[in-house]
Amino acid sequence: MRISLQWLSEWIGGPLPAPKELAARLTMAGLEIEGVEAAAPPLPGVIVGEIVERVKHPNADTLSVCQVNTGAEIVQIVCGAPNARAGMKAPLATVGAKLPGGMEIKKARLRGVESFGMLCSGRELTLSEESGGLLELPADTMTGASLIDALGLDDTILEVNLTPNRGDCMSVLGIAREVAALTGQSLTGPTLAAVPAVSNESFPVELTAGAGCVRFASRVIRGLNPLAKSPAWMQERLRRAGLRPLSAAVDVTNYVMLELGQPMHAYDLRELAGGIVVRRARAGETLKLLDGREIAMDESVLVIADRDKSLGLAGIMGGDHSGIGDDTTDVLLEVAFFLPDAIAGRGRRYGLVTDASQRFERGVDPTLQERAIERATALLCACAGGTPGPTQLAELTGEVPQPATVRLRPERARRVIGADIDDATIASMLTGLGMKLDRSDSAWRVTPPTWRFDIAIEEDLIEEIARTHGFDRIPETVQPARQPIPAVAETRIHGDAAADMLVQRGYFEAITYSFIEPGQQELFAPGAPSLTLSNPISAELATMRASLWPGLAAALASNQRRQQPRVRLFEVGRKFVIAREDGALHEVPVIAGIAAGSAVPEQWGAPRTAVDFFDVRADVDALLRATGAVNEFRFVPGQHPALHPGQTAEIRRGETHAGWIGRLHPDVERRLDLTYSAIVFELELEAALAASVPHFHEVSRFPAVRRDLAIVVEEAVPVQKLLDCVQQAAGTVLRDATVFDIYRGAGIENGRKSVAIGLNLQDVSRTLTDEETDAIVARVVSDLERSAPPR
Amino acid sequence: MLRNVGIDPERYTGYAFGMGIERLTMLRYSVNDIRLYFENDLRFLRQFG
Repeated sequence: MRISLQWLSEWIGGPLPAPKELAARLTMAGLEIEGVEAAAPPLPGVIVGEIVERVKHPNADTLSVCQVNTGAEIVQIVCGAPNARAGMKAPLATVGAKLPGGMEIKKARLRGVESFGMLCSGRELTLSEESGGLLELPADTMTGASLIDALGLDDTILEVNLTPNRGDCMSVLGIAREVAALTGQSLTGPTLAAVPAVSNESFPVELTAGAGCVRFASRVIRGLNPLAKSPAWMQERLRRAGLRPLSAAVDVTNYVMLELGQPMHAYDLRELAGGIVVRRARAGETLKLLDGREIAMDESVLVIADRDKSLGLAGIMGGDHSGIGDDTTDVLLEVAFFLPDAIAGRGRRYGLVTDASQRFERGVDPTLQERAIERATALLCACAGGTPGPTQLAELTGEVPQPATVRLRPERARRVIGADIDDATIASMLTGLGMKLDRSDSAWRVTPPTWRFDIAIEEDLIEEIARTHGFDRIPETVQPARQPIPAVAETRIHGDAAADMLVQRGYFEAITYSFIEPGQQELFAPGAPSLTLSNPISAELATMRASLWPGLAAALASNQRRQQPRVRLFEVGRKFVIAREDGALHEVPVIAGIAAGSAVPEQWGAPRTAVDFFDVRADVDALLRATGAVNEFRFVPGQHPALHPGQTAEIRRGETHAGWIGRLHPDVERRLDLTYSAIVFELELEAALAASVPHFHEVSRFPAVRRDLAIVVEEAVPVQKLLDCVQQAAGTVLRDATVFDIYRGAGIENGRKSVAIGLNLQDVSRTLTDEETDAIVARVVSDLERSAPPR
Repeated sequence: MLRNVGIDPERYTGYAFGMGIERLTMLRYSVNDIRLYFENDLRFLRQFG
């Protein structure tokens, strides 16, 4: 919300602090000031000029030659604006003036005629969007005065970012109340006298929506001049608040809303039939809104209606039909109080967040309606004439919300805040905020003002005291606390340690969103049930990820678009999996990675090859080795919908699933526009990173025997299977078995491979004899022949 | 809030602050756009590797 300090100062009975200081003060009191900006650029040399004569340019059809009074002299200006005319006052940039775009005004000759400056449009001065002609200034503006002074442009705008509980601050009055309470100055404001009725005409209003709408002030005003414009000062204030001036009636309702925080609406009286009824919408009832859209409503929505039809969405937006037109002379003003609960969330359902709905949702002062309608009547009649009828108030007495009294123990406030603020100061702070106090007991009874909807418990009052005192003024104290050294389990590889290992192996840590686009989910986990939000902040963030790969693959794709030749990324995070059996949601912590591009960074000593399955497997092995139980892991050929059917392994620890590794499925690569193929892995932290405490094994003092075997098997036989078999057959004397060669080609039939395995055999109690060794090898060979027959 | 989770607010009090680790690191490392944290652009990540 944008607040003009000029406007604000009308409401404060003393000088305002300097803008920066005021901004800091408000921010520390909980009203965050996001920006402090000048209302207009400096505009040196731009003055109020009065056109005294205008003739057509002798050599150009669209130009005119104007004689302009600068207050000191008459200068000649060549002008292209269609609305220039004798007698008009407009901004004049004199020779030497600087315009906001940086243009400096010089003496010029335009098609043979000299020009000593430039008459300006609002847009050229960045004062408005209007570029169709000169910015016409009111006739009573002083000729020759600087434009800044003449328009009161020497103003500062505060951009206030309000928390949702402070709806009472959504107005100049609201901010002024805060400023007054914080600075100790009085709250004044323009005199808001009641406007006496000239006619006795009124329009019937009936409230049938119960607590949803309990107060509705209205007033008939006839005979308005439909062509009247709101005064320049009002338009200027609307502009500074970020609103566009329209017609007098609309401007006045907006102005009063900005000033007092009370949204209001003006109806064209011609379009109203019978009387006003505030009621719940009927199921299926439709309404064409001011913005031209047609919506279908139901009983949960309040409407303002007449005898025949709905006229507007209560507290949100008026209808198209009954709005103020170019020829409206008779209006009905509506100033109502709607309960926050009756408005909250309704607008959003139709994609409507309006100035009115924002205020009603947060709470509008239920005693403000009379004051607002008098203010609006006075302003409207002052600029557009008209004869007002009496102010009518429809009210469901007894249903108007009353602020509840809250208990406050000053002693507790001091203890919770940690600052020594005495009773008298606390009392004056709360009184300054409009609260009523009953101090007859040690626990005070505090009644918040009607405009505060956010004071319900003692802590709310303590917060008010703390922020008025200033959070920055609460003294720092050292709080001694026990700091036990936490136990670090040796049986667990921490995610951070795993992350460090991958960083050392050339990976970078990525952080991707836990919400992903449903199409991506379907690509990586087709048909899997997902947890999808009903109201996501964006369609790309609509479903909870069942895998970290979609996020990593998207990061890979965007890095490839940015010409990165080698990408290694990993992420530690949770995936969200819904079990097919019982629909339960499991949050599974995983570490996942992706690698694509060259296997090693470009260099002279190694050929440029793309990263492959085995490069990434080495990275995964490094993680698994850290568990101290690498032998428990198996890489089993597997099938995963997102992975290449021939280059996929499921990682198992014993019989438990621990993760996946594989190349992305070519279809997935194509869908993601990947330029080179990617290898991905995923380890479930629970299963994969449980570590074993090392258990000492006797170190043998006897020599080891090495025997090499080469066996020819079908191409499809996995090496893991051979190693498992060797392990089984050789028994406890096998220290390790290493695959040291895989050969395909001459001498070996097509579709087969020769796998060379080195066996390292050693006993802890004696030297193995040749016979024993031969027997072990023979057993290994016969077992291998049985489990992986050569043919 | 405390009452809703069965903690006696007369005995225990607390403050809720929200400041966001991204914003603090922006200040610390002069990062000018918070979206960079979630783009995972290697040219960004390398600066902190």
